[in-house]
This record gives sequence, structure tokens and C-alpha cells, in this order.
Amino acid sequence: MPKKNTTVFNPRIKKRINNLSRAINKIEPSLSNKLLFAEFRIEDIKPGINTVKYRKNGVAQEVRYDELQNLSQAEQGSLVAGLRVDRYELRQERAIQQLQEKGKISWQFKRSLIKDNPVLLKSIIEVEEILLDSEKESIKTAFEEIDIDTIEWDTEAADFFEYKPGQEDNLFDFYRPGEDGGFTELNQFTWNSFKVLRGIS
Amino acid sequence: MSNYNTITELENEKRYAEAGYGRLFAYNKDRVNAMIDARTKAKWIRKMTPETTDELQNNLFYSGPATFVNHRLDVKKHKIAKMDLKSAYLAYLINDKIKKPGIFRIKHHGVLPLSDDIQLYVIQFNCSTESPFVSWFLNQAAIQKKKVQSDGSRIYGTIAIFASHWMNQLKFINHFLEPEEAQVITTYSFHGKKTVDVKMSQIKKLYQLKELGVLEAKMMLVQATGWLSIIDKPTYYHMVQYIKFYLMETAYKYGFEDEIFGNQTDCILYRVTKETEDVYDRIKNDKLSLGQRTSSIGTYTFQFVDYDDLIVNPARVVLKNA
Repeated sequence: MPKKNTTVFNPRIKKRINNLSRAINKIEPSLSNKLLFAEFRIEDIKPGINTVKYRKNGVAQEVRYDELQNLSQAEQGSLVAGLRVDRYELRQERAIQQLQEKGKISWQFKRSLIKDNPVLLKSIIEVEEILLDSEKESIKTAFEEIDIDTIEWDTEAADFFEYKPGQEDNLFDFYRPGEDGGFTELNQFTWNSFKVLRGIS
Repeated sequence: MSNYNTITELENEKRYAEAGYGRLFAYNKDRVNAMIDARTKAKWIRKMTPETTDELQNNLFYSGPATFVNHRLDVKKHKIAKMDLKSAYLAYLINDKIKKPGIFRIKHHGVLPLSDDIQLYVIQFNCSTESPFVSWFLNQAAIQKKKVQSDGSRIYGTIAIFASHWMNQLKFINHFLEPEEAQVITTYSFHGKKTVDVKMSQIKKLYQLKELGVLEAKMMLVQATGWLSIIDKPTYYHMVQYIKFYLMETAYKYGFEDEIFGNQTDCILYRVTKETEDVYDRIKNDKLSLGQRTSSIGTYTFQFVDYDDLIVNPARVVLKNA
């Protein structure tokens, strides 16, 4: 019997960010930084239209948004840590996507970061300062040409920055302590922007 | 070259800490100066991660080895079991299945969820001085050095604790503290190659000699691992905390956590009762081993003693004839 050809629906990043925010907002805010996140192994979070799907210690779960607050505190705490990190990663991906599509990052998007992701906002401002004199079209082209890594970016960065004779300046080049034009935080967004700015493939 | 010696010269001069360093961490060199070599390695790590080195190497207060006595437990009329983890630190180093912290570190604001990778959580806490969290995660020295503050009934401060799915120390903290008593402020993730390559054959050789009663081998094994804290504090404290985690995990898995009379880095003393009298058999049957080797490295050894065989101080308990 021929294998059925299935296509996986992959909603737009913006929609996924909104769904993650919706789930986060249903969970008691005071649980965010508590150590309860260590109680369960939460993986593969998929916030959908009506429900959030995830695996808890390997077992598939599906919970309606309005029932998230009925979960135990430990489960809410474990889930919210995953939700917040997924949203942070997606927001970084979205920032890169905006640079690829429009050559700039919208003020609406930046405004959405003020409360929960100020570090990303700072990174965006740093990138914008570096790109200040560049045309939007050239920014767009430059970001389109680079192989953007959103999953294994930390391994890629670790490989690149690993101390090698003759390449001692790689890290200095990224942070530029005491000089203009460096980044203060290494994250998915700044690493991929750094790749674009330095033409690292 | 006067500051540099061969391992044999160091052994002959009874400089066992340096000789042990040479065997374990610099065996490829003909001559070694342990301090210079350790500092060179530390400088290399600083070059790799200049933006996190100061915090990770100098500023953070890491949870250290657990040393405590539970004075509330009445043990005078009971036998006490003393279980020791054989060459605990070396068993950790020799076990390749235990991931070691990578040399490249990234600082993250707030919480990163647990994963299979090593993460260091900087935790702000405020709890009762009577909490088991204090016994297991804070040691007396830290309190004396004012790394943490106490008003006599509450204790508060910031502490760095490693955790991952396979070394989930945080679940123990959750067990000891109420949710509002602790929160994560920063997480560091570790990537890339491990900090030091350990000469496995030398550990095996020294361990065999130690088992045969060679005192010099024992001195070298015991003293060599201390150098790790000069090279890289995260690497050293991951080792220390893994041992603590392993002991806690054992106590909770075998159900004698409420009978613990004292803990001493790599050794637990527990009260023998009807409920705990089979712990010895169960651990032996399960062949628990931190080293995961065919040798006895990283296995538990047991001694059963009376209260009178012990010296009990306010913060530690040791065998009289040890």
C-alpha cells in the first residue's frame, strides 16, 4: 500500500507567538521563575487553536486554554517555563524574519518585547545601531543570503568561538568590550545577525 | 626548568598533590608545574568566555559538598550504618556517561527549562534555618564567610546549582522549600568540549594501587581533584554537586532519607531501624556504581557502628578510628 503523503500544518510564526502568549497568560504569573519547572519534563509544546499539546515525562497531553489554570502548580510551573522559552526563541526568529522580509523590525514588534523580553529588545537596538547607515534593501538581501540557524545556533556559536590560535579576536569582535558596535548578549538573534554582519556561512 | 619536575621527582619529594595533578591532568608532559599548568588552563578558559568568566570563576557562590549532622535524630540506642562512596570524585571523572561542563558558556536571563544538557541555575532563596535545604545545599563555611545572611530563624542569599534531567537537584529543592522561598534569576548553559581531559589509564592505575594499600597512590588521588577548582570552578563544582546529588538520590530511592544522621561529602550515616535494615542488601543487590566500571570504584562500602564509635561535632560526624 503506498504511503500516504501527509503535509504538516505549520502556522505562521506570529500566530504561534500569539498562541504561546495566550497560554502563558492563563498561567499564574508568580510561577514563572519558581523552581517548579523542574518537576516535569515538558517537551514538544504545540499551542493550537483551542488546546495546548505537549508531552509530560514522555506522555502526550492536550489541555484546553481555559483549563490550564486547573493543572497542578508543579505542572503549570513546568509548562510555563517551556512556553516562555519557546516564545523567546520564536520572537528571535521573527525578528530575523522581519529583517529578511522588510529590512527592518517594526515598532509594534519591538513594543511587544518591552515587558517580557527586554534583553531581546536591547539586542535588536544594538543590531539597528550597527545597521544604521544601511539601506533596507541591502539589509534584506544580506539577511536572506545567510543560512539562518534557529535550532542548533548555540552549538554553531560554540564551534565558531572556540579558542583557536590565529582566531583569538572572534569573541572580542562579537562583544567589543569598551568599544562601539558590539553585542551585550549572545542569543539566537545576535548570533545570526553577527553571521550576517561578518559574512559567516 | 627548576620549577618544573617529572612526576617521579614529585612523588619522591612527597609532593603528592602536584604528582597527582601530573598523572591525571598533564600526563602528556615530561615535566610539569601544577600551579603554572592549572593557571594556564584557566587563562585559556577566560579567553574562551571572557564575559562569563568573572561571574562563574570569582563571583558566584556555588553549593559545595554537604556536611551536616541531624542532631534531632535519636541514634544512641541504634546501630548506625556508614556508607561511603569509593573514590567518589574519580568515579565521576572516569564515568564517560556523565556529561561534564563544556568550555563555552552562555548567560541567559531568567529560567531555561531543564534539558539533557548541563545548566547552572543562580537561585535566590529565603527559607527557615531548620530546612533540610540548608543542610544539603549550604555549608557552614558559606554562612561564616557571609556569602549568605541569616537572622537566626531565616536564611537568605543567592546560590549556584547545576541541574539537568539526569541530575535534577532542583526537584530536591522543591521538596525542601515552598515555591515562594526560591526563584531562579539567571541560567548559564554550557557548550562545546569539556574543560580538561582526564587520563583514564592513570586513574585506573592509581586506584588499583590504592586498593592494594599504597598510601602514595591514595594521597595523589585524594589531592589531585582540588586543582580543578583553580582551572575551572564550574567543572569542579559540577563534580562536587554530582556526588551530592548521587547521595541524595540514593537516600530517597532506597527510602532512608528520614533516617540520615549525618553526611560527610561522599559518605552518609543513617540510623539502622526495621525500615532501613535491608538498605545494605538492596544496594548491594542492585550493584549501584557511580563509576559504571567493572572495578569497585564508585561503589558503596558499608560499616555498621555504635554511637560510641563516632565523634559528633555540631556540624560533622566522623569515625573515632578513621
